[in-house]
Amino acid sequence: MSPRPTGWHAGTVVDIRQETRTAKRITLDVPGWPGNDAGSHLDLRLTAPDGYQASRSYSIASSGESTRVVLAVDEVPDGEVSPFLVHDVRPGDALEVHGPLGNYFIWDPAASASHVQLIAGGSGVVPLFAMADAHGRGGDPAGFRLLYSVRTPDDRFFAAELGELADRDRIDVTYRYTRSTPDGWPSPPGRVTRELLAETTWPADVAPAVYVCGPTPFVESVSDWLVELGHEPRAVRTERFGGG
Amino acid sequence: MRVDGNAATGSLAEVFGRDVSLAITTCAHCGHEDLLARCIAYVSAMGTVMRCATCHEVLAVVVGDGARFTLSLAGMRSIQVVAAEGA
Amino acid sequence: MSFITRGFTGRGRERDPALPPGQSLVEDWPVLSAGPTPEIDTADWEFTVVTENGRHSWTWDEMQALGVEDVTVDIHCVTHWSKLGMAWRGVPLDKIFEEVETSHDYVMAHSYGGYTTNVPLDELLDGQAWIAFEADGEPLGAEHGGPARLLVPHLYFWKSAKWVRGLVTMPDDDPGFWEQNGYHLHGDPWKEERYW
Repeated sequence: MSPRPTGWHAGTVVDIRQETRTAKRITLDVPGWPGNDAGSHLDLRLTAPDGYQASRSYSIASSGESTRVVLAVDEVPDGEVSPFLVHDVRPGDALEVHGPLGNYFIWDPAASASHVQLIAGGSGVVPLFAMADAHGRGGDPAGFRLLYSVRTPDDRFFAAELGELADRDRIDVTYRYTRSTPDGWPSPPGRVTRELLAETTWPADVAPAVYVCGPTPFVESVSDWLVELGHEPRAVRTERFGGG
Repeated sequence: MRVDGNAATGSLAEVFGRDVSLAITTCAHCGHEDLLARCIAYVSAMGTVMRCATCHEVLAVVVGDGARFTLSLAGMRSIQVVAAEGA
Repeated sequence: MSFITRGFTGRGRERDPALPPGQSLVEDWPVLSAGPTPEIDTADWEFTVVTENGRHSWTWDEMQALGVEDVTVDIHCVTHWSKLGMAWRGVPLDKIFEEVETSHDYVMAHSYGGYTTNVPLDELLDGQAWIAFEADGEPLGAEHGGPARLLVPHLYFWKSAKWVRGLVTMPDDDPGFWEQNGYHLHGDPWKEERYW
């Protein structure tokens, strides 16, 4: 696979929809976008009339050769860029993006023979959804599992799409609710634990490719447990995110 | 905030003109060899500081001031990238 | 290529004539970090000054005994935010340099964790700088540089080294951590000395 060129592009917002209570799904059309692999990210830069700039990295929820680029942006309270994207951006607006970025935290259906374990904390599901979606559209035989830690059922990103992939048996999804669960849920709210990882994720002996994305403390505890459970450190790819 | 080296890909692309997340770096302090994407990155509005995942010493710093980017590689003994297409 | 983003002004970027150019007011206190946050117990804390004439050091209690001052100052971060009228408590550098002889004109501040920043010595004296250990009535948290940080409020705030552990005097104005990486050697916010 030849590397995709990285560069600055002007994208136009073509669609905005509410993704969760606090997040928006923003679709951009980016002329000249060279396509992107599942899991890659871009840097988005905002410029004020006085020249002041703020930029942040966002994972891309879409993949493939299209010039349509889908972002899912969760509002970080007191942030500077995400509240603007969630509340102020409208269809037709132009946004400056730099990408695609990242050849490491990606999943390439053509290059991958192993099973895939995705582990998401909150909006960290975005690049992992891109991988699940690429898997859902392709015919690759990899067995996909997703363990998704999320505050409440209303905070799930891509809930309908993940449900559809699960219905087609393209992925097994385990939700772990940390604040409140749906009625009749078998377990009370709680965090992901080492025991839950051992019960619900691919074991180390099937040597899955593991992708973990979420807030820094989540990623650090999960990746430590995975190594304790026997996974090769190099088979565990992580993407930590801060905020803003 | 502490994130992965992967997050430095954008600012490094401003300097190298390409995605170097899979470059292999050698730490000048402890000799640890790893993918750039696997180092530890501290990203703030001042710049991006990349640190060795093993000894936590500074590998590289990128600062962009709007007009130019300054990259210091003082903490890397070497950085290895695959040849660009056609090289 | 760069264009103005419709509707974007930046968070809370009201202009205030009390602010240096390009700065805007924040109410919270943003944390910027370039490395792991060191956790230092005041029982282990030591502050040293090294000059061409030798080494001086103070324990936490010895530092406090030099004489603590309360000051109210404005701080200006090079990343465009300012806070006005912050109450700080600390020991003025004048007290420290009463006990130190040097013919050098510059100092390098060194921090636990390895951070450095350079400052002209005469800009640390005459009530312009403190070893500060309280802000807004609270002990300085580790994320803000506690137990003690340098406070040089008339320069951009990266000069106010967090987790400060000592000063080394120098004959020349050698660059510190950010200064080696593109930031200004001096850093006066009123002259917008952001980058060199």
